[in-house]
This record gives sequence, C-alpha cells and structure tokens, in this order.
Amino acid sequence: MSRPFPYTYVSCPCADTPVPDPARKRKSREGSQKQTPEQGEQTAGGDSKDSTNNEHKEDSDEEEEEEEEEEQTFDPRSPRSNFSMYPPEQLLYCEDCHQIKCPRCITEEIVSWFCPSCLFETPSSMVKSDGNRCGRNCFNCPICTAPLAVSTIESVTGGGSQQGPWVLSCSYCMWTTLDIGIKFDKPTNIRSQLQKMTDTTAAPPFDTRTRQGSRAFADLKSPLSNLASVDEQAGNREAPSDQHITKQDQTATPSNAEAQFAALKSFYRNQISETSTSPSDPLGSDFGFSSPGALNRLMSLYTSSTRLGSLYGGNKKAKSKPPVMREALTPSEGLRISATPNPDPVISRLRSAEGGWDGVASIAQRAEQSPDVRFTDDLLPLPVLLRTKRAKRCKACKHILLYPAAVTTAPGSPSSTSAASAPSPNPDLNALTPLRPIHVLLTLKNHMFDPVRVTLATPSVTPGRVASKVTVLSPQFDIGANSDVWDEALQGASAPLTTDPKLRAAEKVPEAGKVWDKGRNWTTVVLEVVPGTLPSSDADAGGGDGEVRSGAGSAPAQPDEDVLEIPVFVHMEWDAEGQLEQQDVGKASKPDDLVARELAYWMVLGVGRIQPSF
Amino acid sequence: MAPKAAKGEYIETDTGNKISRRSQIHGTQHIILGGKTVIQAEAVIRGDLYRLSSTAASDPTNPPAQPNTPSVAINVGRYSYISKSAVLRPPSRLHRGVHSYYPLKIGDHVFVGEAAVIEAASLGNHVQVGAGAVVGSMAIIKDFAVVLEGAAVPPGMVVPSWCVVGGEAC
Amino acid sequence: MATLKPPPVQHRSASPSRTPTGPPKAPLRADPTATIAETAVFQGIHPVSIGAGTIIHPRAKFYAYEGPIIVGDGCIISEKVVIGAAPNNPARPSHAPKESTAAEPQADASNQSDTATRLSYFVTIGPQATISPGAHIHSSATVEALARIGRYAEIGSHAKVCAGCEVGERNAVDEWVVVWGSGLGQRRRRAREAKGPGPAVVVAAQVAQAAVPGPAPEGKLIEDARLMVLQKEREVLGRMIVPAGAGKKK
Repeated sequence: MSRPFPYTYVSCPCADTPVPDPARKRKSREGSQKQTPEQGEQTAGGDSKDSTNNEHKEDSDEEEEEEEEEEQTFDPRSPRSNFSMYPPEQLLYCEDCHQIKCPRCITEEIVSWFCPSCLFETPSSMVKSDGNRCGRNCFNCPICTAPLAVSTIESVTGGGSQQGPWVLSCSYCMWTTLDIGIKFDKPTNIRSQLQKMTDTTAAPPFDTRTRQGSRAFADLKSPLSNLASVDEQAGNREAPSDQHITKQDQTATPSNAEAQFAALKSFYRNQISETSTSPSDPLGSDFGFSSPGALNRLMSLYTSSTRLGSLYGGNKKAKSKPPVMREALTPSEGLRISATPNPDPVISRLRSAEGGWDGVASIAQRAEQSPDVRFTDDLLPLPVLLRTKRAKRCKACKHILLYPAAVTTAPGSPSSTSAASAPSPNPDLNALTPLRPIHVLLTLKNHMFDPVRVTLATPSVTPGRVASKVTVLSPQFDIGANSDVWDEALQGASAPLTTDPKLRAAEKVPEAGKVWDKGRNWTTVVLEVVPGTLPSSDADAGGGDGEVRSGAGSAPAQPDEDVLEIPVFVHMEWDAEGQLEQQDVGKASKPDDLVARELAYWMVLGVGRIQPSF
Repeated sequence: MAPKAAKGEYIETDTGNKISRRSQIHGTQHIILGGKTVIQAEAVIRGDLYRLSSTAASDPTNPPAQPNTPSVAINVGRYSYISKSAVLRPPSRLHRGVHSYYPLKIGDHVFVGEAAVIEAASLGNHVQVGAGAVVGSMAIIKDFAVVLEGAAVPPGMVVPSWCVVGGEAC
Repeated sequence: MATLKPPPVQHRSASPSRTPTGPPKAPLRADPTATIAETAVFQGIHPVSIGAGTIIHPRAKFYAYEGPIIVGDGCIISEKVVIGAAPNNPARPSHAPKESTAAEPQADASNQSDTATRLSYFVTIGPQATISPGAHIHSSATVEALARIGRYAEIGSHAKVCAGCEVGERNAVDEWVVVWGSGLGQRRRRAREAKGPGPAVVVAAQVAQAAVPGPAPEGKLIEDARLMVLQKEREVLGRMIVPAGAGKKK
C-alpha cells in the first residue's frame, strides 16, 4: 500500500452486493416490452428472458451474500478486496439508502461550467456555441499555455493614455500577438475580435446567406443521392458532385474547422440513414448504426454461415447487395485537401534561419490548433477551456450526495464516520518486531448530530500466512454527537491540556473494557496487536538453524506480505430523526419520530510492516 | 518585544507566531501575521516593499484613511507555515504610469515549501506550495489548491480551488 | 493580529561567527547612484563593481572567489541571488550549482581574467537565481526566479531564462531568445521586427473580402515597454530599499 502507516481503508459493500440500479432494470424491462411484441425473433425474445433471469439471479445472489457476509471475515489480501477498499475521504454516505457510497456507486452530473481563469460561470446554453471555451478575454499562450494578459502598448510607454492598440501578451515566454501580427482596437471582447480576424463564417451577412442557401441545396441534393443507391451508385454520383463542386466552391467551401465539421457531420448522418434504411437490407431491421442491434447484426454476419452464404451467394440478385457508405468527395461535404500544392516555400522556410527547429510548432502546440498550422508564427491564442463543477448522485436512488458550492469554497465533508489510528508507544511502524505486543489507538469520530453506539469486531487472528493476534480491548462504546465546535471550547478552557494524548499516554495503562479516551464527538479505543512472524523467520525458529535466513521457507514471501493489516468490522447504531417516510420506518420505529439506523462495514487498518527477523 | 524569553531558535509573538531568529524579515511594520504561524530560518519576507502612501493617496480608488495607517505589504493568516529559504515578495506592476507594489495576502493553513518563491497577489486558505516552486507575479491561488514541487506558476495565472498545478507551463 | 518585531540577530554579525576568521570581504566598487541593500553579502578576494542605478535586493550574495564580478548599470538583482560560487562551502550546498563542486580544470582556475562574471546593462535577476562564475549576461536579459546559469554560459541581450530553467555550462543563449519549460527547456525566438499578419488572418480577410488589417507595430515596442517598466521599478525600489550606508530604521 502506498500510504504511510498507519492508514485506514473502508470497504465499500458494493463490491459484494451489486447495487440494484433501478434505471438498468427499467431499461431492460422496457426493452423486453418493446421488443417482444414487435417482432418475436429469437434474439429479442432471448434477451428479455435472459435479463429477467439475471434479475432473479441477482436478487437471490444478494440474499445469499448477505447471509454469507455475517460469517465471512473480510480478507484485505484477497484479490477482490482490492477493488472495494477506499480511503475514508473518498467515500460518501447516502442518507436515503443509508449506505456507504464509493466512487463506483456514484454518478457525476455537471452542474455548471466555469472558466478557470476568470472564474465566471458560462450558462449551459452558451457552452456549446462557445466551443467549451471562455467567451471573455481569457486566452492561453499558444506557445507555453500560460495565461495571456491584455495590455496596451501606448499606456505603458506614454503614461496613462489607455488608448491605442492592444495586444495579448504572455508574461512567461514573452509571446505577444504581435508575433503573429495581430493587434486589437479595444480591450474588450477580444474573442470576437479575434474571431472576426481569423474566421470566415462570422463575416458579412451576405456571405452567411449564401452559405445557408448552399446548405439548403446540399440538403436538397441528399434525397437525390439517396435514390442513387445500389445499382446506379457509380454512374449517378459523379454527375451531381461535379456540378456541386463547380457551383459551390467559390462561395461555400467550409473554410473553418467548425463549418467543416458541420458539413462532415450532416454528410455522414445522411449516409448512415441512407445505408441503413435501405429496403434492400437483407436483415430488414430498422436498426441504425447507433442502436445495439447493429452490433448484433454485425456479429451474426460472421457467425451464421447461412447468412454469409446468402450475403455472398445472393450477389446475383442485385437487391440483396448492401448499400455501401461512401466518403465525403466534395468540399461542401466536408472534404478538405491540404492547401499546399507547392511544398517548396514550406521547405525553404524550414531551412531558413528564421524558421528552423525553433520556428516549427511542436506536436503539443499543434494539437490545439488548426491542422494547417506548421510554424510557431501561425499559432493563434487559445481561449481558455472551461471546466465543470459536478454534483455527485447516488447511483441507486439518485439522491444528491455532494453539491458543489461556489468555486472558491470547499465542498461539504462527507457525513460518514471516519476513523484514524495511531499507535501508542510509538514503535517504528516500518519495522514491527514479531511477537512483541503493541497497542494501537483507534479513534472514531462522529460527524453526525446524533450520538452513535459502535461495536467493533476483529478476527482474533489476521487472515493470511502471517498470523497476528488482535484484541479489541473495548469492543462496544458510544460516541457523542457532533455539535458546534464552540461547545467544546466553552465547556472547559483547560480541557485541551488534559486531553493531550502525549501526556496521557505516559501515565495511562490500557484496560480491557474501558475506552482509552473520549471527547465531544470522538472516542479512542485500544487494540492490542501481537504481530505474527514472517514465513522465513518462522522456518528459522522451527529449524533452529540461524544461518539459513533468506528464503529457506516453504514458499517465498509474497510482496507486501509483511504488511500488518487488520480487518475490523464496524457496526454502528443510532437514532435518527425520521425526516422522510421511507419503507424502513417500520424497521424499528420509536414513538417520538426517531428511527433506529444502523451501518455496518469492514475496515482495514494498516498498522505497519513486520520485521523479517527477531 | 516578544513575550517569551528568547532562548531557542524561535521567537514566539503575542499571538503565538513562531519566527526563527535566522529568518530574514524586512519591513516588519508592514507585515501582519494572523497567529500560530511558523516562519523558518532563512525565509525572506519583504515587508519593505509596501505600497507607498504617496501613490496610494493619488489613486482615487483607495480610501483616504490609507495614508494614516501603515500600509500592509504582506498579510499571512493563521496556522500557516513558511519553510526554510522561502521568499515572500509582494507583486508589483505599473498602473496608470505609476509603478507600485500590491499587498501579498496569504490565507490560513497555508504551507509554503522550502526555497519556494512567492510573488502572488494572493494564496487562499489551505493552499500548499511545494518546495522549489515559483508562483509568479500577481498570480491568484484559490483555496485548497496545490502547487507541486518545482512547479512554475506563470505570472497572472488564476488557479481555481481544489486544483493541482505542476510542471513548467508546457 | 500583531505586527512583527525585527529579528534581533543581524545577518552581518551572524556570518562571521560561522567561520572563526570571517570570510574575506570582497573589495566593492559601487556607483553612488546604485542602491545596495544592507543585507547583501559581498565575499571573496576579487573586486566587485556595481554600475549606476543598479538595485541590489537584500540577501543577494556575491562570491568573488574565482574572479571579479562586474555588474553594469540599471540592473536589478533580487533576493537570495547567488552570483559566483562559494568556496566549496558545504554549509550551503543548495545554492551552489552542481558544477561548482566538481573539480574545475586547472587551466581555467589559473586564467583569472576569464572567470569574470559579467552582467551588462539593464539585466534583471529573479529571486534565488544562481549565476555561476564566468557567466556573461548581456544587456536587457532576464533571468527569472530559481533559474541556474552554468559556468561560462553566455546569455544574449534581450534573452530570457524562465523560472526554474537551467542553462548548462558553457552554453550560449542567443539574443532575443526565451528559454522556457522545464530543465534545460525549450527555446523560442521573440519577435523583434513588425510581423505581417498570420496566414489565418490573410485567408479570412480574403474570404470576407475585407481589407487585411493594418500592420501591427513592431515587436520591439513590447520590449521597450518592458524596459520602461523596469526603469520605473528601479526608481521605486531606490526609494524603498534601505541602503547599506543608512542608519537602522527604528
């Protein structure tokens, strides 16, 4: 384990009992309802049957596992447990399900977008049109990614005139927009100014109108090419596309990346709809490329020999030939060919002193830029990418577990009870002496506003080959409710002195059945641990041969086998105010609106590393 | 003078700040420490680079009370830790033809690693700055952000809360 | 809230106590218009000269053991800058560059005129930067915080070595070049002359059938502005830093 000793991990119960996902269930049910009446085919019918079977199986599994759980000791070394152990700070508690939630039982949801530079939020409606980037004056340096500052040349030299050309400048690598020959007329709306300078689509209204017209024309054209399926494909396609090129090239070649992307997107959407809805499809299904049925169909193409035969054998019949998706052929469809018919100027620029190695943009720099960019002189400033604030929801009940506050404030701490352990006599945790008892102080803290009864259980001997003995000296205890921090401070000013653990440790002796220490919302108990002996040293002791020390044991020690990890089963009960009428009200309801709640989980204490020899 | 009898390496102030005798603090009258803050040996704190009152008075945005009280150059919160050889230096810039220093604000529970150079406008609460990191002029580091060891935060950068910054601007 | 009290132990009295005899104080020849902080350290056997209007921040260290140190006019030397190398002093290994601990070729050590460390006009050195002996930093160059300049390295005029970057021994950085990134870093040439608009701008203007935007001013303007800012910074600093000769404040 990578954490320094001592550490604690909490095992999320989701690893053993898969969280029943209502959404998944609903989906599968809907699916079965939908598919079976439509076409009683073997695939759909089989699916629905399988899914219902699975549900039953899952349910019964859950029950079985719950029963098993009571008996089984959690083994921190089993390969499975690796996937369920989380440090307490990564876990959340769902107040609706009354369960611990690990990152795998949580879905994230984007609450808002904000710019990491100006910290302003962007409304979700604007995010897409802004290309996920800040629409204000936030830019990153295309050379070194440092933030660019808007500065004026005149005011620096001329003293406070605040006029004249403005530039974006990087105060880290000294790049300015003057390096690419760009200056701005005003210090606001830099993004739109820059767009106007470099973007053809945001040009005069006349231009946009023709563009729209051309798009409409392209749309008109698509049914035509739709007709041009199977048989006429080859002959028919050339004519309209040629016509297309000549008509539209001057006016409506999508010259920036967004327009090109839009053209390609609409082109391929047309292609998909054409090829998949064709009546000549041998499978005759209405699965699109995006539907899961498409995968089914593809798989069955390869598996069933009869279909393969029909596919290839049926070639004689023209209608069984599947329509072929073609690629974009014209600029209006989004085709783009490199605009350097003559490479000589580029080569000479590479050779020149001005270009050279330093003048060529690096791959990291080009990745963010238009694909044509080759030299650092062509790099444009990059508007800052937006970031998201996300809420965390419980996967099972969709209850919001964590909601981000304003950017500057911290999210609320998870309301689960966290634990931290500290050993009392301060031995070297990276070299524990075998068979010498140590006392481990385990402090449990309560973040809830209700007092909690806790029961701790550990196996008397840790699982695995290195058997260490563990005893919890006071397995049952109470933890006070969390309250205002000021209460403790006001109760007694001298309290901190007496509760200083160092002072107490010197005089106190751990006693069975007694808690070590107790505070407002925390309790410390003692675990007595006798570290076991490692296999190799065990062999030494048995054989009595002191010289055969390294690797003489029956099996070589596994990596990290010397780590002393104690599984602890924590069970806690408390009376909560029944705030919502849930089905578990009936569990153990008390007259005065109090509901008994319980939470149980396995926890792993990493105490230290056992020394190989005495 | 410091209340405790000076004996060990650290002097303790009224509010529980622990300041190494070998720290290199300049312009103490322009430095505010919130309390329980530790300043280790050879840390340089440039309180002498404060905003001059003459420029403050001429600036209309400043309250008129400013010239009376000594202007603060560096404000460190509570429970912060300035490690050995770190440099805290208020940022400066030219504004309307006047070059002036701006206060450096450091929040509570801030850790500044060994030999780090801080020229930021502000470090929020619970900010960690690793050893050998450089936080450039006028940078703003928000709460709970972490600047890794040896990182270079370029001048004027804003680091939002809970972010981790590393590397050197590439 | 409490304002700090000055540390009682002054640096000056502390440094000789470390070595019983006290380090040799370098003969300092400073221009009267230079501002040298009280706590700057000048050690070594060779002379150190400081030009007019130069600002030396507190705790800057000049170690003139291997050769003279010549600082030109209008420089800014920040806190904890180390210029030159301490004489294999194990007390402060973090400041001394790695090269300094390595055995120096005898030929270089004997040829003292070569090991002069030169800073020309308007050079800015950031906090905790290290300038090894024999380095030559030309005019208007910038060396940022925690950067390391190796022995006999040449930094061209108007060049910049970014924070934390390193220029190796005997390496040269051309003029108007920025060294950035990590370690030895990447290099980038700054624009000096006026540049024509980028190809994206030209294409866009053609498509929009608008005039290509007018020529941008020269890149050198930015550098002029930067030097102007530095000039103002020096003026302010000259008033703020307590010079070595002045009596103690308070």
